[in-house]
Amino acid sequence: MPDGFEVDQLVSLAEAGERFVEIADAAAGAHAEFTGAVQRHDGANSGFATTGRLATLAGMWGYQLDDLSKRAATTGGLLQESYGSYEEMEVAVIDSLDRIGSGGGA
Amino acid sequence: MVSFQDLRDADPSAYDDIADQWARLASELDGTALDIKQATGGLDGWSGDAAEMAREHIDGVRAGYDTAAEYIDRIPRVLRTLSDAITDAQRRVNDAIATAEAHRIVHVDRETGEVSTPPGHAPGDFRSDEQVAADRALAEELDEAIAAAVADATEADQVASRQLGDLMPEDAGLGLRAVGSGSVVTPSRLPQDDWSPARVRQWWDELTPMQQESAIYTHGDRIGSVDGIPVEARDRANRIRFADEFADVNARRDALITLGDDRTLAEDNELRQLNDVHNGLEAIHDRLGREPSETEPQAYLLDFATEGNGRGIVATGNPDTADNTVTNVPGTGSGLESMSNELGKADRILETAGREAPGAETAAVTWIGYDAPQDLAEATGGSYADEAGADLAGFQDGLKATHEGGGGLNTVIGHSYGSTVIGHTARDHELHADNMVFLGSPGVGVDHASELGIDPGNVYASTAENDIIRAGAYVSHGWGTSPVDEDFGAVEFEADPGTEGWGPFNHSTAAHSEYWDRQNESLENMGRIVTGKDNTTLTTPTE
Repeated sequence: MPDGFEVDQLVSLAEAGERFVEIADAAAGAHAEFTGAVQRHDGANSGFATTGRLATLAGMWGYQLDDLSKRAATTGGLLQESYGSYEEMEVAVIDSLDRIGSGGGA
Repeated sequence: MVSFQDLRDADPSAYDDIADQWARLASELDGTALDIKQATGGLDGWSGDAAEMAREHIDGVRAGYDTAAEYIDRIPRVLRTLSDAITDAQRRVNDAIATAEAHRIVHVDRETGEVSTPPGHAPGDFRSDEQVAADRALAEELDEAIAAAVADATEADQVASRQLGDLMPEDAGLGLRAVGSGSVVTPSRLPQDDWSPARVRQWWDELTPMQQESAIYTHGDRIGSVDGIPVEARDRANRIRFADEFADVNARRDALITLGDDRTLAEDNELRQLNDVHNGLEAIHDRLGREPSETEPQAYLLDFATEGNGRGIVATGNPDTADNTVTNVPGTGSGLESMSNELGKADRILETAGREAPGAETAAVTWIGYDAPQDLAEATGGSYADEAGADLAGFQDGLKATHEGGGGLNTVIGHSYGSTVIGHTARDHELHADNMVFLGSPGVGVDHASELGIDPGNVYASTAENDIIRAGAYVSHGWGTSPVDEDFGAVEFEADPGTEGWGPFNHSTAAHSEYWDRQNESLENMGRIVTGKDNTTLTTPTE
């Protein structure tokens, strides 16, 4: 087994992967819920600069949270591959995550 | 710049409510960061390059959520401060207007907020010079008060806007990482309408893991409804979209309910429609949130829409991994509102299938995927069935394309007009199904089972003795021979007679809707069919 990861630990790795996907989806769901809940105020306070700024702010945070969810779910999805083959999962993790880079910042 | 009219029209409570929503989101994201931290414990003991990379990556994501929560949590305070300022400015304007109205000679322009009084004595104006001067002074005072209130609101607006401008993700040091062609799917690369489910599946499999996530999160409205996308991915995309839609419907419904007796006629109608939509969405919400068990498997949302009578496709159990999948197509009157009742049927058929084939995995799809006729008058036409054909055929093809074992045993069950939908689809399209079951059918658009594209030995039909649909034997439905007619060539199976009605034949509408009742022989027979039992195991009406 490469890099010392035991066979009996693969399940916990895959389960962690599942959990990451669930968490990412829940965060995306929370954002979607937010979007739905504020939608009824569309058109209110249209003469205020703040209203326009809020729309921009919501859009920018929407992209950002989308990005975080994608990254969390991708990592989770890759880890779930260990249910099948550890070796393939390891290669996929390195290949996929290397392309994205780490860190929460810009 | 805020105008007098903007201030008058402003709804500060909207900012308060939006502030509450941002605060709730911040709290959720805070929880997300904590959840990730806990889940990362699952990586303990894993070492090597991949482990290091995964851990570093997920730590970065966790930090991103943490930072997002921190910055987003600052937004509500800004909005509440602005709301207070607007409320105060509106109060001052209203006070000025009330004062002016008490002095009938002082006038407030409702468009501009300018306050004026006649400059001198007009004919019929008997005020003294002192009174004219006093009125002029009052007008100037009120004019200044209104202008000051508008100016203060403008100032508060500008401050809030500036403060929010400093709360963008880039101000928090965050940026997008999942970018570039290897990470995102652009709209032009999404499946086209004319792609077959098999081609969609191939397209999906060729995406990188990050591109798949991009498709789910960024293009969920499309991915969630395309046949050929694997069930789990489709479900994830739809759940996110569902959260948005359900929150939107609930918020609007709550607002209308709060209006109470102040609702207009139009708003009353809107509330009635929203109640129907809400009932359907709530049934889906409850089903998706139900804790899976051995007898009640995980549910998957495969599509939904709230327009018109609404649509919803929900799988109880995973069709991609199931040994047996049954798709139930309801008939007249179905729509989003009937979802709860239809999901109950899915449960009962799963119970029966579980008894018939212990150990086998069965999924029950509730397919309210077409605009069904809403009454018998509408149901006399075949257009609803014709229009549903391509969608039902595409859906069944999708089940085949995404099944992990290359395709399980697929059964379609049509009840009432739903049987007509299945028949027309099989007649006009290639309907991927191993078994077809027609319950309480008014006719399926063909005269013989052999015209449905599968072995007539796999075409099944049953109509309860007291089912009102039998009255149609005397009034042709115009959709071909009844499937329970011997000449049709289907395998007829037994259903309980059903509730007795009035008249010489005891027909009743209740008997038309009892095929899924527990203990009804029709349900037992359906369980045998969907689990692939031999036809000799079925009970027939002559027994």
